[in-house]
Amino acid sequence: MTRKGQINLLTAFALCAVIAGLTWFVLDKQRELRFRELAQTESDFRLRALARDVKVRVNAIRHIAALWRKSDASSDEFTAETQDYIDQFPGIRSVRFIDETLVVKFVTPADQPPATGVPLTALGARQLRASELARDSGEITLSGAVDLYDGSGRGFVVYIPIRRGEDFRGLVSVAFNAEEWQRELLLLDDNPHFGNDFSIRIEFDGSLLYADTDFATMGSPQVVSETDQLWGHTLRMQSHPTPSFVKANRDISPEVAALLLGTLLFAGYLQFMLLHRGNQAEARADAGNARLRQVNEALALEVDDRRRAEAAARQSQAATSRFLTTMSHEIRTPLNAIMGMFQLIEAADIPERHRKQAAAGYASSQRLFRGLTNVLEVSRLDAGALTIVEDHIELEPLIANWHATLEGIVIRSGKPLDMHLELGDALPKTVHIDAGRVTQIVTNLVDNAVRFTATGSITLAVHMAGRSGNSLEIEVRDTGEGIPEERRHTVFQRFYQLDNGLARQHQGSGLGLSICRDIARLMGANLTHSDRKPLDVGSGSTFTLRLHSVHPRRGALSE
Amino acid sequence: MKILIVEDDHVLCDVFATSLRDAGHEVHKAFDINSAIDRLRGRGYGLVILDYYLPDGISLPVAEYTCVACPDARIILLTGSGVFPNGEASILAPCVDWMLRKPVPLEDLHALVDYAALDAESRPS
Repeated sequence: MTRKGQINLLTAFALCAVIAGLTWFVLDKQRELRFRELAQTESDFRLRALARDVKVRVNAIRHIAALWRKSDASSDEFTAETQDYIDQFPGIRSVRFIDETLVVKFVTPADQPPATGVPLTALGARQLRASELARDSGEITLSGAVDLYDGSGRGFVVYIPIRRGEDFRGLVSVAFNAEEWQRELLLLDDNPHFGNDFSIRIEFDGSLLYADTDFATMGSPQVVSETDQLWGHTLRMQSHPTPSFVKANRDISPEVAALLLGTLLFAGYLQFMLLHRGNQAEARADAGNARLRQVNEALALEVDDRRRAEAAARQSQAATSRFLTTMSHEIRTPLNAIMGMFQLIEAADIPERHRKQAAAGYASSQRLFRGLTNVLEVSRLDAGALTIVEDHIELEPLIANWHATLEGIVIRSGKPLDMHLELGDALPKTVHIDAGRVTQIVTNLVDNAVRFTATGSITLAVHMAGRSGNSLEIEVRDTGEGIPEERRHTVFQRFYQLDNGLARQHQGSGLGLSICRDIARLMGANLTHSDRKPLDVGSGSTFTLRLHSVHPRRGALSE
Repeated sequence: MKILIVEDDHVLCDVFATSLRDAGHEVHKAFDINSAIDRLRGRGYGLVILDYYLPDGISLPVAEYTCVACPDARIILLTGSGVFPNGEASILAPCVDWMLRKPVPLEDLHALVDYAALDAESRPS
């Protein structure tokens, strides 16, 4: 991926992350709001339950006040009534009857201080004020939050005035222990887990009535409930949701939603990029294909052109070959006639002078024939029209043929030359060569040897050579004048002959050896020249034709 | 011996004919395939000297016809081309007995003709 592509990807990822973050932020706020509302509802409901509970309990005690309507009740009557009441309502610490002088007269349970005979003045300003207000107004009053006289902690006391007609007969007081009371609410408590879900603090008129021990340390958001009025006193509750409440109302929808949104956006981006890239790649591939097609077409045209040119060349080569073959025939035939003519004249009954002239004419036409043959061969080589056709050939008749050629040439030359044939030991029965071309080379070598040798001998040697004994080596040795050291490298060059004097004497075009070497090369063979020892001009020359791999299936002549 | 020379070059044909006539043979000449076949009919030649290339084609059909028309005739194929440099004509054209490459020296031709005459005499027919 390119650097630009990486940056694009990172940017898209960051954008998706930001969008997901914003979504989470908004949803998180809403979740908090929902949570707060839930806590508020719970707290408000709890407060109402508290207030109603107090009212229910106070209503339930009113019948005791009724004991004094007709006559004063006895201690036993009071105890019997109130004990039931206390048993029925846990959280009620004690119930007292206070006479019209505001002195405690009966106490249930009996061991609860303040005991009988204690004046209310001893119980503190709030209680005294509330009791006096109840006496004076004839209404139920409440002390507010006080430390209970028995030392059981914070609580509050309700005073219910008793009247017989217009006479004030005393007060019934009910002491609530705040801690027990709030725990033991009787009515309408449809949330039994409230104590676990919230840590609370209850106040009367702003002064503490009760607080859970962990309220001050709670870090979670504080909920302040609505207020409720109890006989002129304001009841208020603050609450902290506890971890258990938070856990029970856990809501991970914002996280899920944000994550989902971010992932979907990013996935969408990736999909879009993939499609985009796919289109781009397709377009690029199309362009590449079009280019390729163009190149292909151009190539096909070129191939066509070349094929046509090749065919034309082949045709022209074939034409050249045909032309040269025909020319060979066309030249040989009239030449044959000329030579025959000279021979006829030579044989006729004519003066010696004319006979010599005819003989000279014959010799010249022979030279002309050799020269033309050479020129035609060179042309054929240069035109590539000279082909090598290898075949399995019997070696023995072939060697006999070469020997006969050698004999014929020597006899025709009229020179006093000895002829030798040397055959190697392991000559195969057949060899795989182009017999015609090899014969052409051997004939040429023999012809050369005879021409450049005045006296002595010509030797034709045939044997197998090479590391695997798979090469056929044909040597033509003579005892002629040899080739001087400084001229040796030019032996196989075209139109070269030893020197002009010799050339005139031997009458050749100087093409023979170069043609032989070219043909040998065409056959993959070597044609080399070496002097016989000692290396002196006059010690003769040896030409060696080495044909490689002439007999793939090895076998001896005797097979 | 009765000899038919089939050679399109009139001069060469004359040279061969003169030379062979001087040697005592009865020589007839033909310059193309058609005239050669005409002449071959019922003449009883002992030898046919046949040029390979003739104006109306390659002369091998003449050789084949000779085998039929004059079964006793020997055939010398003359060629100036390099088509049969190594005597393959004897395989490709079974009727051909010998092959000489142009230019043919007269002494070579005489030698071969004499050999053919000897060969014909030694045969029982």
